[in-house]
Amino acid sequence: MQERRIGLRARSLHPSGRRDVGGSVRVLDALLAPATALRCRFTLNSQSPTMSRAGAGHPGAETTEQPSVSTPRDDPTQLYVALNDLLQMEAKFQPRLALPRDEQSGEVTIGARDGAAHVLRCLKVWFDLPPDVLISAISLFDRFLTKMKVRPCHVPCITVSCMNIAIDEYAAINKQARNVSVEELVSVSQSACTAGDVARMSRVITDKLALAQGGAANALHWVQILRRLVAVAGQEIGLDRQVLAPSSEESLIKYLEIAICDSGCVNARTGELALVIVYHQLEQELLDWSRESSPVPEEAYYLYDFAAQLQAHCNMNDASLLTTRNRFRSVLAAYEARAAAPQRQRLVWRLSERTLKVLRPTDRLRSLLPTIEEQHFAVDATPTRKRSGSESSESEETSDWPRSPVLPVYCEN
Amino acid sequence: MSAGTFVDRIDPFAKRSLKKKTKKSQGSSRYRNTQDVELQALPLLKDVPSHDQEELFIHKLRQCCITFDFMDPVADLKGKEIKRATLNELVEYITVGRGVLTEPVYPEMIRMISTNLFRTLPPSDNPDFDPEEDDPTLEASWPHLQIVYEFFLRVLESADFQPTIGKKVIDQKFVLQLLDLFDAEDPRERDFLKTVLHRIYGKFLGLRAYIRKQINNIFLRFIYETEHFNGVAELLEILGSIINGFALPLKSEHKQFLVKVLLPLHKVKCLALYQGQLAYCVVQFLEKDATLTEPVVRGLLKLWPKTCSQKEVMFLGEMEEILDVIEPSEFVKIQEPLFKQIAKCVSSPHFQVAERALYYWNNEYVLSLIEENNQVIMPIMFPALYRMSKEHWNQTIIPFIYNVLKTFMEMNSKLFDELTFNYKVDRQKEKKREKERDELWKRLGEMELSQKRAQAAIK
Repeated sequence: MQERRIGLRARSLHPSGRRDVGGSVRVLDALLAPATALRCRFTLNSQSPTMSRAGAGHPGAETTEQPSVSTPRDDPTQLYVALNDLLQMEAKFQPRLALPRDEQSGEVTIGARDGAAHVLRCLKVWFDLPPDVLISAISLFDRFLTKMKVRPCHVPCITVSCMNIAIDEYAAINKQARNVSVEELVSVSQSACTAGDVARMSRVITDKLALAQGGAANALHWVQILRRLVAVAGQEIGLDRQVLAPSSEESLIKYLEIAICDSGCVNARTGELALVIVYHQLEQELLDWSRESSPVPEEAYYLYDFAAQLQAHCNMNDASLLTTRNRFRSVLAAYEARAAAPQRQRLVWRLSERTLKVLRPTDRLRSLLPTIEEQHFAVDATPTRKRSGSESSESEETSDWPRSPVLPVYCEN
Repeated sequence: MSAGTFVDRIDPFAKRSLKKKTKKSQGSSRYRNTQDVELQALPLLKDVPSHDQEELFIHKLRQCCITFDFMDPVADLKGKEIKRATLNELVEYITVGRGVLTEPVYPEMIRMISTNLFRTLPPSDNPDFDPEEDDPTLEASWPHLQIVYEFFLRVLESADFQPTIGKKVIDQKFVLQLLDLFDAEDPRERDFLKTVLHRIYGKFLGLRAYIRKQINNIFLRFIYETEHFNGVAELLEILGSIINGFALPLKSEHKQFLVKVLLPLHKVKCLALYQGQLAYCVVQFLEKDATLTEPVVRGLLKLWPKTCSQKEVMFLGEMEEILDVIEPSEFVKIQEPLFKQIAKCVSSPHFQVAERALYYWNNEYVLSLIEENNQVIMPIMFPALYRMSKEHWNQTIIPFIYNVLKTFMEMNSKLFDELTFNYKVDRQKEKKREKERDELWKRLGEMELSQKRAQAAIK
């Protein structure tokens, strides 16, 4: 089954071509059927994807908890157009990090890059930013590092600047004002640079990456397109349940966030990484499905054939796809194992004057008297020992306290 | 002297309200000098043959039993000088001499010491004395007293000193009177007393239990009755050296002392005066017996200050010292209640409390303990941290909160993400509930209005 999923069989299949290979052709034919037939099916439910939660089920489905997302926008042809656009831009937006593992001659290490990704992730949580901003910021960072040789001391400034640009982009796309100022970014991130530095660096990055030309093809776009393609394929096969519904985007984005914090994953072809993630999510969904009462129909596994087609369409070779998948899985496994990050940021703790004066009460101690050893036996320090009748010769330190057992005194809070 | 001035002299309260408070106030317990004895100058000890020295020594000791009034700076200057010189000579004599501490001399020495030291301490000149702001009232007769203390100390530390003879004169009654003096306002006197009592405790095994018992009494009275005693820090310093020397396994008496006396000492308002010494004692106990950790931590949590922020900061400091020496197995037992309290501290509007609590995350050892148990601790801390990241007013706290959240994220990303998600979900539910409640009130309001209108229409 493993091999079937990410088709190790080499295939070349273009959307326009046909090959007589079993059920997969049926799928592809269905996808490429005359637009009219598709439109008829799709127009039955004309809700937009964002309202899909409240929408009714797919006409072809029996009972489904997840409503369909059938919209005119999910026209496979259009999806393939978008996919081809991404394929064209892929090389331009592909990070190719060649970073050393250890600190050598003033180069940014893998650890430093991953650390910067974590900083961005933390900033995203702190400012409650949408995941698009994070993914875009990390993408900018990686592309900049690919293009330019950067000094480690500039990494904090570059990190914040990438976040700054990503926030601006998001604000522009969504036509909203940005709600996080540069000053706030600088002060929270402890990047030891000024807002002016960040503004300048942002301009440098914008120039070097030629961002003014527009266009974007980061991993999120890939994941979104591929999800929709596979979802439509699933519908066409006529599955009872919808797979990879829009609601699964949350999970996909989560996987993506985990992946891009690792430089190994980021160095893989963006398309491959996206495909791996989408299919991982699909696997989880099929697994959940099989755990519940109804068994997974045989047809569902045709989606793995579909994966092979996508792989061929995007010209992904088996070996590198496998490597990417393994890398992603190991990163995900580390995350699931709740492992600690290998690098920890050195954080700045600037205490107020008042608190700094006395941190620990014993800081105030000026003197300590020499220890007096407790005596078990009557060891008298004097050279001669005169017995006086009233003293007991056993422990002269006999306590006057009543001998009661120790009762620890504590109460439930 | 006119009758007026004489009356003033014997009435200690007369000058107080009228006179402006001078920088260095002096007090004395000697208000009246009944003795009007002229001190005769005696020959020097070094000038007499050795077989006569003992007698002369005793004679001089008896001379020094005469006390002088130091409130009047010009009274009896000659006598004061003779006594001062004599006392110095005596100090020299027992320091340098060998075999001078003969048996007959012991009771005489103790009598001289008692006569000079043991007195009822005057009431405080300044009842609202703040040790951090005000200068203490100094003992007026310090010029003599100091040498007496010095003498006493040298005697105790002398190689010739024999506790078996000494214990006949340094008995429980003597020790009790010594302990009472710890309430003196003059810190120099308390310092001497501390050293003296330390030496006595060290040398007189038979008195140890009694001393401990009396110290307990003083502390318990201080905690539960008066909240006033100037010598708590000094007594605690002595106890620190005693605790340090405890034999293992610890006697139950000592454990009772920790729980029944040392912990409640944290309750008192003026904790700042002696917290250093107190914390030292507590930590020493834990280093001796780690199983005491749980009762200590729970005890401190029970006594946690609720209205005094300065005290809360002190408690946090002491708690960190305890964490510095805590065993990982003990940490696990107290982590939940402890971090629940720390979460509350982090949420405190008093920035110093929040700051001090957050600074725990800069402690490497504490961090390693937190990391080992992050599954338990993170869920407790997270809601407070997340909320404070959005709500806290103080800009110096914000970076600290960021540091802690970042540290958590690096410790366990998955748990961090889960907690973020859950927090948001809970917040949404809460908002929904608030909204429903608001709407309910609104509807009730409208119902009331329409009812009133209906009633008005009927009329």
